[in-house]
Amino acid sequence: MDENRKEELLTLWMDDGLSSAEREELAPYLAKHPELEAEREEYVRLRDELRSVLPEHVEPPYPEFFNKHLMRQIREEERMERIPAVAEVSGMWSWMRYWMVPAAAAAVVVAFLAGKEMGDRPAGAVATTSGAGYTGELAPGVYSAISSVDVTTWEDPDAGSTVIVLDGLEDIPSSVDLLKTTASLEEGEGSGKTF
Amino acid sequence: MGCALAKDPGKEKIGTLKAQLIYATDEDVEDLGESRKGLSDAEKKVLEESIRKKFKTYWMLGEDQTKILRGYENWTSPMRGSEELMVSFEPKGREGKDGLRLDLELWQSKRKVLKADPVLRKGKHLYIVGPKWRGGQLIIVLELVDLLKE
Repeated sequence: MDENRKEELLTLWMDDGLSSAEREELAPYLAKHPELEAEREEYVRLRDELRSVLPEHVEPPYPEFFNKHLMRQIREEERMERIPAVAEVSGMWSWMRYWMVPAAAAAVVVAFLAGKEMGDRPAGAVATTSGAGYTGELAPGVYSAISSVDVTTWEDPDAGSTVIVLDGLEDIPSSVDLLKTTASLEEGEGSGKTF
Repeated sequence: MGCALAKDPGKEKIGTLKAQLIYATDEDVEDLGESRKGLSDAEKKVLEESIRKKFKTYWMLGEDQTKILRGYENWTSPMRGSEELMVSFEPKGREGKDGLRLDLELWQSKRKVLKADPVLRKGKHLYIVGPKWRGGQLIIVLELVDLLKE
């Protein structure tokens, strides 16, 4: 069996898509590589997890935030998958990635469709830089994704500081008690790790 | 099989970012508690000169210090335990010996309100004058605490 045919059959096998003739064709290869069954089980587990995380018809409450974190998790999953692929295996994972890439891409597409606010720069959003002493520490790509928010930036060479002022943001409700949160200073991996 | 796992270079720490949240107000504010301190005169002077505005009092509401990883997006919240104001950042490359350009976003109530790509330099501050809260102004202060040599 040539390499392309083997990959095609293995991919179909992973998705329960083999015909009986194809199953017979692949059987000798699977018999020689019983470890593939465990790989398949892991794939099915991952697929089911993805499906449980990505409901197709329910829009998340914060689409943009949801997408941001989801894409981050997908990137990290992909990195984790790539690391052993480089270090340990040359054969098996080389065909596994043909399946993993479309799966990850599909997840991104679902996430994209779920969000109504995707897109970094909405039409009408304009980067604004003004003020004395602007020396380019902020590239022109400074803007708010909210059209009603004006962004002004400047630099103060004497203080060695850069300032971005956002006018028009919604107030944080007074009912939100920022004083109840922790005010500690400890180096960590970042608060995003808690999501 | 049997080989050691390859180390992910993207996980390598290249620096440290400190985020602070300052509450500036002209209202009379009672003591906000032991964990919340006012700014020193020197800190107040630099802040006022930078943002070109003066307030009656300034309070440090929270601080967070986060590793900057070479190839990953990082998150920091100056108010740990709160998702009301969060900053995401990812290094985009060095600028000279002491500068690091970041792809930076500010999130308020889980909504992205700012995207910027500033260069942070050790010992210099980036002030983001953000939303208002309880009649005062919230200011996020970002500082590159250290940047490891390449």
